[in-house]
Amino acid sequence: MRVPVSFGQYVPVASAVHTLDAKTKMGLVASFTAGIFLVDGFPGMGVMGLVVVLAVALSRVPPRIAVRGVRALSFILTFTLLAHALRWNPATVALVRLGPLAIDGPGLAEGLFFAVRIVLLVVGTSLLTLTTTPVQLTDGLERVMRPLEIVRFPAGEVAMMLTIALRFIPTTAQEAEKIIIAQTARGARFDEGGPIRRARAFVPVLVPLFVNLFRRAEELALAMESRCYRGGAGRTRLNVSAMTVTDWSVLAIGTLVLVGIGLAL
Amino acid sequence: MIEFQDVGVVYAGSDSPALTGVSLSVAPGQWVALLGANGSGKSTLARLANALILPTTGAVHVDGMDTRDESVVWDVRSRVGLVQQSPENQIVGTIAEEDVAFGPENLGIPTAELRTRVDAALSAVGLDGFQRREPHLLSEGQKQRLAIAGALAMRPAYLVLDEPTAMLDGTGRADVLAIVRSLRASGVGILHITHHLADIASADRAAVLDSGAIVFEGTPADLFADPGRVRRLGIGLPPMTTLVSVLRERGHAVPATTVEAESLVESLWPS
Repeated sequence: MRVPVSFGQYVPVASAVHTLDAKTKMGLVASFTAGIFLVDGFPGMGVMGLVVVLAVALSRVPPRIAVRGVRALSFILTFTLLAHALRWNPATVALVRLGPLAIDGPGLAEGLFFAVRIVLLVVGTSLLTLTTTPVQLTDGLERVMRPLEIVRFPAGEVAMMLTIALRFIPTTAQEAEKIIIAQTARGARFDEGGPIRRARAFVPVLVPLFVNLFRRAEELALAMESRCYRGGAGRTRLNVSAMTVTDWSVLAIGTLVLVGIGLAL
Repeated sequence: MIEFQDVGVVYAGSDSPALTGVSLSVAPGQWVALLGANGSGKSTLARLANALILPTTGAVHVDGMDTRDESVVWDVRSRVGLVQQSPENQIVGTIAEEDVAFGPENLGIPTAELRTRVDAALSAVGLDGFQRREPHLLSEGQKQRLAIAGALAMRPAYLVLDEPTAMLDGTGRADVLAIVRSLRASGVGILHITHHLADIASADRAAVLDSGAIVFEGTPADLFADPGRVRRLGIGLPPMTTLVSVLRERGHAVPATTVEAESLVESLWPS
């Protein structure tokens, strides 16, 4: 039996955004974040909105998936909107009034501005994980973190940890599946009772799963030592993702445009 | 040459030694099979060969280097590849080629040569074209071949295989043994640890480990000639055969010749 494991949120379609180097996209996300926080008015936010729509279109990620992250934020969005829109006995002309509480035009506009900023931020930044495989992300992160090695940040080791975690996610999922089948065969029920009972039914799954994980970790450590792993220093890499001329130009132009919009509008 | 000289190992916190007075050698191009029951000290011996464990008494030398000498540890490990029993737990990379590259990457081999080595190692174990395959999508046999490729990419002079076929089916075992044969032909010295008597037929030498000591050393033919000794040492019986004999003792109607799990299930629980 094969457990279907969807790796992160990567959407495997071919697009110009997918072929960009992970580091380029990380740089663009940083510029986009800076730009969107610099923007201070609806015209600027409107242009940022167009940029996001354009980026989603270019990435060929289905819009439904691109905005999926927003749904989880409905509480924060409502809170942001209300926190700005609700006023206590405002002197201005209120649109809605409920006792001393009121909503007025400027408050509502402010709340909308911040809510739109959050939505755009989430949709824009999630394009990074939607168009980049976890492996490319890890490699990109390692390169981006490398300058931190000057202050003794173990960039290579952190990247190795991420790689191993990624490597063992499907393995662990397959093993969990196997244990669930084995426990079901012994009469365990995972689909009965309330949430607490259901959660407790998973204890006999988690215990062997964790025991196995620790055993795995020990054997893996021996295997890594056998293959001469001694930290990140002095390692070479088989696949070095290099930024092309296109990557550099996209990054440079993109950064200028994004930060430019932020400063101008 | 890997040389174990009168090696004894006592683990910290244990009263009884894991190995006592073991002397054995593996020459380049030689296939030495080491048999023993579970707990006989086989894996300890495997880990002594590449300095994962150091001898308490005696010494282990790899091409003249003493494994206790800390300055040569990485030299020893790049010269002696180790493949363990469970392929799943020794694959580091998220795709096959990254895993094979892991060892040589640690040695600091330049990127251009890495590519050559990785492709050559995958080809040597019959995994051409699997470069970008994710490990969890491989069969157990393919995973074990990938693990062997990972060791080969370091261009070791010796390969220590610690029960490489224990978790494999018939085809997987045959594939691994074919790889061992071709490696020997290319001059790699092989220490092959197993409890399948059938695996060792084409080995150059055979040794049997029992309770931490070597109790037989000779050719596989000499060993096969004495089935009584083999039975006494508790080796040679694959787990399925042991299970079948236990079931038969308890009166279940299972054919004595059953070797496949499916046919065992079929005879216990006819559909």
